[in-house]
Amino acid sequence: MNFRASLYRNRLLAAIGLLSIALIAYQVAIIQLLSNVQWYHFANVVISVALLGFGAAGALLALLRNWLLKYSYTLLPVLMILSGLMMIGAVELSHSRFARFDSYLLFTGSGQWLKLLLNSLFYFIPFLLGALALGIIFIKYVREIGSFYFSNLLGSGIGAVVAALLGGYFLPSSLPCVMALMAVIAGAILLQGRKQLILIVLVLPVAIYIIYRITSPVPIALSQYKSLSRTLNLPGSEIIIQKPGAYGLVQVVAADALRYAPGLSLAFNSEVPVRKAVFNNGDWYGPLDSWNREDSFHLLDYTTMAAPYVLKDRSKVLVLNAGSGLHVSQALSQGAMEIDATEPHRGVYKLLLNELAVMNDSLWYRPQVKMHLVEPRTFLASANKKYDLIQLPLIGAFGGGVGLYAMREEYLLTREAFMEMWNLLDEDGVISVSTWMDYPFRNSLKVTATLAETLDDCGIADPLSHLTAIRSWGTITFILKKTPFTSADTSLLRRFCNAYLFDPLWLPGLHVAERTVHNGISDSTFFAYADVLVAGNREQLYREYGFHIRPATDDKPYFSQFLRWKSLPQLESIFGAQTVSFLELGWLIAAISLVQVSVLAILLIILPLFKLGWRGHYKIWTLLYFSGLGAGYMLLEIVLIQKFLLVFGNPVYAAAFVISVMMLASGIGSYYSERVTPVRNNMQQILFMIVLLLLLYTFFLSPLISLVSGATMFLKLVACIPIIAIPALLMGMPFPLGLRMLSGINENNLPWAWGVNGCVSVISAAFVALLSVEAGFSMVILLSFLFYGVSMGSMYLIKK
Amino acid sequence: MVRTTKLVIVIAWMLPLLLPQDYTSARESMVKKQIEARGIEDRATLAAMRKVPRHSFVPDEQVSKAYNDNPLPIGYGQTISQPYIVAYMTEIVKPKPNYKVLEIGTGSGYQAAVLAEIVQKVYTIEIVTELGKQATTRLKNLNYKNVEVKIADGYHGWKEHAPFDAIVVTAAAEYIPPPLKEQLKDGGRMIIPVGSPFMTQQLMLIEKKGNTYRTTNMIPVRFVPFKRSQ
Repeated sequence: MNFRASLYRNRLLAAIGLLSIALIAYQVAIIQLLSNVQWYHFANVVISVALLGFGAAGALLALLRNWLLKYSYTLLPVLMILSGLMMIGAVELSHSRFARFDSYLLFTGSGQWLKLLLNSLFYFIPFLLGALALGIIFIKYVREIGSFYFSNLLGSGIGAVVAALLGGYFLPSSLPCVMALMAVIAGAILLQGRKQLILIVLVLPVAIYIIYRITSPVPIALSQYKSLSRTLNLPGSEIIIQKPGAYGLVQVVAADALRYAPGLSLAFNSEVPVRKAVFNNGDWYGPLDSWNREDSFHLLDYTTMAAPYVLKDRSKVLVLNAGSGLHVSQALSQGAMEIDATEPHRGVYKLLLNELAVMNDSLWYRPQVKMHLVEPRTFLASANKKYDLIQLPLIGAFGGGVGLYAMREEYLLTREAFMEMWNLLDEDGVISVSTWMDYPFRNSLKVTATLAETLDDCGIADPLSHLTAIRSWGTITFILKKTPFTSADTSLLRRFCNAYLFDPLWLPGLHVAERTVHNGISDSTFFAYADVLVAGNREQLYREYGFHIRPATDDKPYFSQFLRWKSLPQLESIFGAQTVSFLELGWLIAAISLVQVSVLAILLIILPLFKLGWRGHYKIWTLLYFSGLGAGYMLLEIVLIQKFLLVFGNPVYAAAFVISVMMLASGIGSYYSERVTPVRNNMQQILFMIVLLLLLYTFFLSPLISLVSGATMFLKLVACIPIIAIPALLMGMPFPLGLRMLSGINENNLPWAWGVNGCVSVISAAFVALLSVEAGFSMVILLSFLFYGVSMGSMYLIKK
Repeated sequence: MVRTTKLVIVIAWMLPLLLPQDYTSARESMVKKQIEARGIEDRATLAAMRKVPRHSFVPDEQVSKAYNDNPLPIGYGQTISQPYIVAYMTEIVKPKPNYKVLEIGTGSGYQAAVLAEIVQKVYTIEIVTELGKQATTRLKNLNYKNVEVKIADGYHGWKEHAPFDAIVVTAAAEYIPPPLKEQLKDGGRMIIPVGSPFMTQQLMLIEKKGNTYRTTNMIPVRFVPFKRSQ
């Protein structure tokens, strides 16, 4: 290779790396932006279609291979620059008047669906252009694919970290522009010679425009139904603090009529104080609470959430997911001496300790309070102290959620989590968990079932001697006590209920009529169901009830997933189609997303066959081999991200860690693969090792992760890197080897193989959300094993 | 001949758009299928639902859906409730012609108009200035003289006109403002929806007796337990 060619090759490697960083980081930035403007579900719908750009690029390459390769020298920089330009263009277009959609209105009018489709299309274009550039390089330089694929994977790994880091400095509307600039620079690296002078001249204004947009981003309008929008409609409302972060955009709002008093007793006769409130990505995060000795009462004293303090003074309190500090100030007001509070949101944590400290009377600087920046499960795994009270945040939304959190992992509400909490209780200690009353009954019944099963796990024969619940007009507070309730406890709770117009759900010696003295309920089946869950045929009710109320587990940590697919027609007949859509929105959107992506992906797989032909030339092998790799890799990557959340206690860092380690290891594997001859035996051996590892992971990954969860950070890193890197290293090899093998068999099929891999990856990403909810993470790993098995099996279609 | 036929078809298709719409039959159908069929019996409520032109309370782009069996967006993150819920909330407070009713959350003004058909006076408060202004104009144009709209924070109620025979809160709230329960007459009823926009599954009825209160979680739509055999 001469010097010029070698220089161009190095430029290509750099451009691929930079473009890959831009594409992955842009994906994260768009999810962040759309989660802020709409909900993260819709971000996923849009982004899954957008990622099909990779599949579409494969299809285009297959159809226009010769032309694209012929003009690749000019096309590569142009495609990269255009990809960057369209990264901004997509944001601008999606917020234009004709294309702006509101996810809340999707089920009220068909026009919104068209707008959603348009939005997906806008975000699809930069991925298509970027992927086309990558595809051209992979196909043109297939013999050196190991190096180029290494650069691609390395860039992707860095991209995940870059997105997490930059998210802390740029507003969600500016962040995509930073990624756009990277893509443009990637293109500019490849510009050279007089022939491309015009492009060199053009790239400058493009870069200037992008820099202008970083400093002066496109104005973003939130959905009018987001809680922030509704709060900003209040008179005198104003955003007083705004901080971007990897977790989301944190905003603090002040308004003259902003009050928060969840399920306040009707016996309360004072003024509900006006509070400032914290919002994350436009969603309610919590009121800014404070506590002074001069204050005569705490607002939560007038809610069912005061029940644990009625039984006994609580000296050592653990507040999990403390948010903006409502339960911390309550514990202080009740005279707690040691309060540990966990809060995983770094942005909120820093605000509370700094800018907001003046506004909340330095709540977090009180000597009794210790704040821990960590996910609650990570704290529970490493805690070595016993508590009088473990306080969970209020579950669910007022009046029942809209199923938005159905697809969200909630490790705090699994059976294993409650067991860990139980083990941290002092002798008379209690776990207190409250939910909003919803209808149809879901949250309240699932909490009941979870607590009842926790008592089973602890070997408690008489659950009702350890479990009580107090109900108001809107909330229900469950108390799980380590030792049995005494008659003194019972009378204290009865007195509390009468004073504050609450009703007990269970108490030793309770008369049925006592359950509705102050708060009636027209559908009394709630009581029957709750009783069955505590002391009846629980299994039968799990099977027969219209919603999933079986407790969540660490393998299926989806507490808020209630929808049973088979119940949908009946729910629709009772509530009407529109209402049902809002009852279980998260699950429905994930299902719609999967269908939409699958249809488009299959079309993109089929389309090139009209040109390439349907038979012969190892078509079946190409399809099976590259589909298996695409699906298997994606499934394992997503499970690892979810599983490592428990280890690192932060979803953003867990994702950044897993993706970067995985990509780097795969990149090294890809680089090393250049030394491996792409023949059947070699490839089968590598695939066999992957399959074997995945089989082991199906059974041993969870126990392995539980083992390291409570360790020090250093030990965690030492243990976790090999868990991710060993399979990833091997998994980086089959793809480049497959492409090299195919280039020797039928070079024309190369783009199609690349497209198939991309399309199936996107389908898998959409599918994994539903699969893990329905079948659990172990099943997802098992499926990953099966897909790699398919790739391995497909090697028998290749002659030795 | 073919041309004439085409012209007739086009005119026939355009005719409904050119002529002023009569929504009486749509309203009648709404009352029969969505309201009476679900058990609303109060004559005054049914008569009011038959009379109030719901299509005048929704944004122009929603007029064709005004009598559908669901809530509709009216802007500013607010909705006009499903017709059945409006009827249910009206019936549950047992309105009488001599009643003075306070409404919190005017929104489009539809619930106030329905109440105004039955009771002597309706006082309604809206916190979003734009919505309050639109509702005031709308109610004035429709000649509702017994409705008074105030743009203010509903938390404080309307002390000058208290006590009220009934209070209808149309915007869901996570707490019941203490001033409101104080402004309720002894024996009075207050109804509050519990749920997010587009999804009202529960209504909270509060009855005042002396200095104490009793709440009942009313569920307009009854959820039938599922059986495995189904």
